[in-house]
Amino acid sequence: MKKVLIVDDASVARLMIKRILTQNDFTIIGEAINGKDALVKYKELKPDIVTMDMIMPEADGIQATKDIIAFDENAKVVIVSGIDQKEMLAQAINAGASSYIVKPFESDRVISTLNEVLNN
Amino acid sequence: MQISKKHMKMLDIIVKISIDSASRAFSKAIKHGALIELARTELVDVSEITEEMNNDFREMAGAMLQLNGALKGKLLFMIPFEGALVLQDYYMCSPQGTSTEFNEYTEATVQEIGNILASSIGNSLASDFGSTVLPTPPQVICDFAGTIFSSLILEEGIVHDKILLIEAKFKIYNTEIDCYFFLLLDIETMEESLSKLEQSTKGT
Repeated sequence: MKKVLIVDDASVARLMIKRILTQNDFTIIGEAINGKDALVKYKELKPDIVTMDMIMPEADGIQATKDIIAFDENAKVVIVSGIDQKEMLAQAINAGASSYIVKPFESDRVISTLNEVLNN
Repeated sequence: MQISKKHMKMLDIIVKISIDSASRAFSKAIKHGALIELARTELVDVSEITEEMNNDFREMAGAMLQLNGALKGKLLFMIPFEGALVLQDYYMCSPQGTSTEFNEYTEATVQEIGNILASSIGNSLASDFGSTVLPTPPQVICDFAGTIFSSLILEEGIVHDKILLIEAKFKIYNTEIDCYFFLLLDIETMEESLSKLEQSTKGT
């Protein structure tokens, strides 16, 4: 089973992603509540993939993605955010994100995107 | 700074489109039909609207955040406690009536709804203005309606006598839940953005 780190400041959002993933053969290895926490948990838990919210206190999702990629250039980070704006999408990809899911999301979309990123 | 009638009309249309987009996002998030009804878009006296809210003695949960970028402003989503519990059940996919006490999950539900609304409105405005409008992480406040509203207008009230207020109410599935949603836009950046939009549409 693939190990996932969920990063989101809203506990409800983490719970929803967790529910979808655990029903589809993923293991939630940890949760982080902001960008700084994400890097700490990534180093500690070494997940196969990270779901990353964009707007968070402390460090945002773009910064956290940059930090994680700087630590591990092979890290797989999927942005899961309500922000659907071209400039932010470009920033996320430039930061090293592998894919981008817009909230609110369908369960199937989350699963297919994570599988696609992991298989590539 | 005065906002022209023409710009007020443009803003009214943009806000309606944004609210429709927020309605769809909100419905998708709770997996039930939800409608956000626009109640009013107008320039109001700070003192009048404060008095109006101070006369509402219900305890509410509010998610307050800022919009930054091409258009600056503040957004407040406010819902009475009992309404927040109903939404919590929708969010957690629990049968209605499961949540009976306001707890950390109720607070997180209000926070996430604030996130969805702000992102959705920011996306819509960014698309109209051809630039970026980003929300900050929401701050959740639980208090009386008047107190929550006061914290929204605190800084603006010092600078301006009038504020641009957009008020909407929510109807969810077969339940009517009184929710309030205020968008307080910075008049200067709004005028700039609307003028740019007006110029760009003249060429089309």
